[in-house]
Amino acid sequence: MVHAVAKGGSTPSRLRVWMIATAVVAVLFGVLSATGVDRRASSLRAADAASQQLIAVQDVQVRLVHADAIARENYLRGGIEDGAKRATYASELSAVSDGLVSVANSVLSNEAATLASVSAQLSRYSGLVEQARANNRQGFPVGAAYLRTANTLSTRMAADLQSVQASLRQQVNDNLDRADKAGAWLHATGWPLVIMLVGGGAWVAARFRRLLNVPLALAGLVTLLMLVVGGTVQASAMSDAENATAGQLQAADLAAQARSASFTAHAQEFSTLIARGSGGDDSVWQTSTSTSELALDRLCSVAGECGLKTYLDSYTAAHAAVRSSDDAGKWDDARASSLDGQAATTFAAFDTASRDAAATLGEQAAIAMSSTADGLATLRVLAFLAGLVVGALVLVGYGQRLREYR
Amino acid sequence: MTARSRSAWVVLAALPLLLIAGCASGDRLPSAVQGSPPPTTVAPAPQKFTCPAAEVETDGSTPKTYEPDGPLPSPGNLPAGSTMAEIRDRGALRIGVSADTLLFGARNPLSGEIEGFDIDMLKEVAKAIFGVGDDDAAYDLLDFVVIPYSQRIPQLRSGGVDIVSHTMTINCVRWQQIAFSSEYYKSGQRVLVEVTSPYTSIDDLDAAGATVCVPDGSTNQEKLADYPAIKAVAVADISDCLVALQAGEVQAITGDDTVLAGLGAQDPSTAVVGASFTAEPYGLGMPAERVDFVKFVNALLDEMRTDGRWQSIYDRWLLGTLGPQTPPSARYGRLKP
Repeated sequence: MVHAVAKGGSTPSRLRVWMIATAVVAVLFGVLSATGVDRRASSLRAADAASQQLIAVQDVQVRLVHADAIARENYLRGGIEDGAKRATYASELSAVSDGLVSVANSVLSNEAATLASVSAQLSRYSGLVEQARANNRQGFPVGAAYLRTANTLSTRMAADLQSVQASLRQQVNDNLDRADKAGAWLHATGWPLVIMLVGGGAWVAARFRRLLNVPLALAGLVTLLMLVVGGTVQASAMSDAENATAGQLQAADLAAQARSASFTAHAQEFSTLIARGSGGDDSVWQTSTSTSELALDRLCSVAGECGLKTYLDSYTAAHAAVRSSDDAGKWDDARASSLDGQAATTFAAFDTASRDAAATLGEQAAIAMSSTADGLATLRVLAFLAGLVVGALVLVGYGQRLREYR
Repeated sequence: MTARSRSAWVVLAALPLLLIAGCASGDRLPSAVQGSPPPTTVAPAPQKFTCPAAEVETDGSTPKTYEPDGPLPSPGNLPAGSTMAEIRDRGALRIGVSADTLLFGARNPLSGEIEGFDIDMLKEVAKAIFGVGDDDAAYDLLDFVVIPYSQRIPQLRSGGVDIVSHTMTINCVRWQQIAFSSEYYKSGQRVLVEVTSPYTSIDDLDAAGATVCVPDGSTNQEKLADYPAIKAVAVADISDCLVALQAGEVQAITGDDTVLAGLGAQDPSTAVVGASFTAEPYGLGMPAERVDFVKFVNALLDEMRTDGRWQSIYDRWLLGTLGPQTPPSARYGRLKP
């Protein structure tokens, strides 16, 4: 006995040590698994927030390049502008301004600084467009130089917005990674606890020749139940988030990219005609249209939304005719097609169809991403309570055996 | 508990962690798509041209051009196989012009037409080739290619246009690359500043080390090398210089007085100041090998000098801003390209 005590190995003391250790691990299981569930929920909510911001920033960019395309179109039209187009330009620019303020309030500081810079550039941009317009109406060619400067600024703003979007995409992915890893907390503490309960129970059964210690068996059962139910609920939430991201969110992202690139190309068509006859800048149109086509191809495979490509193809064919006319010296024909003819009609059809599709996809993405953390709040409470219950059962179970030594 | 069983416990306890650590994750939301730009060809390094010693005009005279072989042939009597017959058969004269040089070549936003002194010169060329009588008919026979200053010579050398009328100065170095008509307008380089500017000449700007805007690739840019203290800002087109001046990014613009007058007409807060510090004889540019076309255009210009058409065009566009002027005389004597 003295030998056993000296080794710290008498049965009661071993029972006490094992009981306390198991109870501590059980409480840790409750606390850490609840924390893990909480982290997963908060990471999913952060991914949702980043995805909403991404959609909002893309909306700002699409409106900006749309406004810029209208500014160039109205300049090419010259003289008396199309009143409806002018109103659309003003409302798009106003929406860009409001959108920048709204998004800047919810993004991280780096992105907020970039958006603030875009806001500052937007004021200068609208001023340049007004100067271009005023000069154009008086017949002063310096208006074209102002418009070029405005367009350069618009391109820079679009690049800034794209950098914010890249950062937000990264945030979505990073938060999903964090959510994924947070699921480990439940298992990291749950399975060692199961092993301790089973091992301790087996030792007690062998040492005291009792087949079943009911509280310990219940503790094991609760732990296993928590692992199975908790694991399933967490995996379901993660799976929902991953599916929503790779599905609806990616589709909305691609639709917005296609629209932005198409407006950039359309704007370039007007600029090329304003720089009458020197169509070398069509390379910008080709690059932007290639981006739009790529986005629409992916959209087709990701979401089965394949009809938009047909609209874009119609416009692409009409644009080729515009360029052919201009290159052949038939500038008036090219201008007429671009402003009011086939190119204008086909692009308007693409604009309408893609706007509707982007709006629907954006709403679907918002709904899908916002519901991924549902159910995790209840699970967090259950996990914490399970830890406490298991800890209590451990104390009761080992306590029964300890009482036999009194 | 034996050491072996303890190891087993450790492995069992660590198993979930090992499983978790093994979970890899990729990007669920891919980066933005990026389309590919059209294939590009690498442009060869620009060839450097110099004026041969035999062609240097020591007295600063305008370089000589080809003398017409005789009177201007009628449109129905253009020599077979000539450049003019080729253009007539094609049905259009491809012209390289500016669309933002007010008074010389600028797009009228109301009519959509490009108009000015340079354009009227080309209408006369079209009338002479196609035999049409009125300006509107001649305008319809022009295929406009709007080009910046830097593209005037490349467009002629690549065959993109038949003729360039774009406030282009005749000089010996350019004669090594293209051919010129006789001088059709006498201009000179001056400076445009804001009316409140303390600078009244190019020398003032040089003394102050001022920032001066100039069109890229123009003779104005070359001339600025004579004023080393000036900080030159080169832009694609002269209109960009007015934007830079109005934005306060430069303190002056240098260019031909005619072009500066066009800029000044767009902004009453500016003024052309100082005396001309260069002679800028304007010529119509043509491909170097099209000697027949140059002689044809020179014969046309000779007619216009004497029959009052040159004067009429000048009075229409420039009299109001630049005052009375008579047509510059031709200087012939060039024998071969």
